[in-house]
Amino acid sequence: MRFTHITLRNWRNFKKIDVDLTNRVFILGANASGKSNFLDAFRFLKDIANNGLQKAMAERGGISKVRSLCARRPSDIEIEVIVEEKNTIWQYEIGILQEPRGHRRPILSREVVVKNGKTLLNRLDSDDNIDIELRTQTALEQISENADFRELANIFKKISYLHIVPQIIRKPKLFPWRGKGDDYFGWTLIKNISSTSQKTQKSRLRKIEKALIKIVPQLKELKLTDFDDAGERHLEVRYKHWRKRDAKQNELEFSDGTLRLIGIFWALLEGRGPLLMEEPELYLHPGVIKKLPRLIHRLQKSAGDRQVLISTHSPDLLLKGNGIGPEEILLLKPGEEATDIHALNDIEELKPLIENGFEYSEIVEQYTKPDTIEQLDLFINQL
Amino acid sequence: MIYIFVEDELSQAIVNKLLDYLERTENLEFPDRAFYNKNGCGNIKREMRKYNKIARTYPVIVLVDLNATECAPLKKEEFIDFNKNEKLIFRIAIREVEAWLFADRKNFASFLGVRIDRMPKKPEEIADPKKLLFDISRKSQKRVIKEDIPPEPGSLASIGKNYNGRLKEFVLQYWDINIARNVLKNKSLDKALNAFSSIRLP
Repeated sequence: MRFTHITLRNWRNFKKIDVDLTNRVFILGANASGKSNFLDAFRFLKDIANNGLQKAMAERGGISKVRSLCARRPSDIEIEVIVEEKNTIWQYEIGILQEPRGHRRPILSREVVVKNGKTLLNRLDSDDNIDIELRTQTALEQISENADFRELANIFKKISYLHIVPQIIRKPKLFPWRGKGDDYFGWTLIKNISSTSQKTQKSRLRKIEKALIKIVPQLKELKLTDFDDAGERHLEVRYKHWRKRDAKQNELEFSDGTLRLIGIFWALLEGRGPLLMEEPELYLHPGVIKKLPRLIHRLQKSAGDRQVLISTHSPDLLLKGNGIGPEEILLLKPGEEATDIHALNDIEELKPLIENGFEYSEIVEQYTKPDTIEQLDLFINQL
Repeated sequence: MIYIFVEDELSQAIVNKLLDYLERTENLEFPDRAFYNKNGCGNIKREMRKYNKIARTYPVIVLVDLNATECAPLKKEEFIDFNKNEKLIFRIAIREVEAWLFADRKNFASFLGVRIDRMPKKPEEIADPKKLLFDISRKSQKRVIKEDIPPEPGSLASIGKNYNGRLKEFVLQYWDINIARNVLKNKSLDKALNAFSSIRLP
């Protein structure tokens, strides 16, 4: 299954964007250009399917936080996606606005489901117009309403998000808010590993271990310990050591890079639905980063051609030696009011550079950096 | 779009300012400029043919320093061993773009915080403009010039820790191109400006 197209209107810092999506997508842009906001549109669909519209919006601070600031009049937030699943093409459209009075809840302005060109749902219908309460819930989130397209709801539920923060893996209890569903900042990593069936768990940890040994050569073995006195399990590695016996370390002592690698690997091995990854390059050596695209590619293929959307700042991730096509690279460019997004091969001024074999990293940096960045030097000079 | 390939940040700031100057004085327009800092002339030399291909359609500016090469025509031959498209503008600063800054003697002396008689009178004849700039900066009355421009004693770095940032400030805020151009009449700066002013956008 994969998203082949997305259209966003008035979603966060996007006024209107409309892009095709390949099976592997690299999203690049300056700081605060909206990379995470773009990914959040997919997470939002997942949250609606899991927990309903009201909760999905509340978790994001309400409609006023989500609606683009450039929408002058109160206008609808709209998300439209096209999803391909085997031989089925799904189209889902949702429009959301704020209840004009009363509780000011987010309510639907429309909701459409199309399967292979046939419209299965087209709201608002006459009931919606009579009873505004109905418009506070999507059909997607209701088992009683979504029988014809539960498959689509299940696809949305399979989306996963990965933005591992090593310190959260080490000390999950220090981060009690755990707001957004089962989102993957790392606090459920050890729990997830622990709750996987013994056989699968072993086979996945073995795979991770084999890769880790090549990246951290002094490492020997990776395993999950039994429950300790506090009722917790730990990731444990053995290190080669000049002493006779190997040294042992658990996740509290792992380096940030090791923890992130384990988390990235596990996420890639764990699911089959679309995976949203934030900056997988963080904490990693450039030599490792350069191998990530092919690693991701292999694990995509062995998970049934799973789709992966990656936000990144890393030039090392974009090397052509990894078989990356310009159509796989989406560039965010903030304008005066809203941010625009285009695939690298659709940007006219960049075509001569791509045709003449420039590295993507160079083209992308020059195109996405803010115009004001050179003025930073004048400020630095005053320090 | 004009594509501009340079050796370093300072050259980038200089070309940008030169284009601004031409917009102002000759009523030309260079609205879209894509700068690529190639970090050294080795990369530029290797990619010259690519730039020439881009120049089939778009104007391309390439600026390199002459450095220690014997003379500019020799350097040009090294870089352009193909049929050059008309839109490819290849210019050489003699011997480095820093010489173009020295050409605005008075403003540069005051920016560097040194007496004007320390400043060279014939900028194109300086054998190693960067080295001279370091030597002069070390004698500066201004702390930040001494801290930023020359490499620290014992350092193996080729430039000081805020060399580019500090010199860009001069380029952006104080460098008077009219004065520098007059001093370098019929020399590399003047010739570069003449070449840039021939650019017509497609």
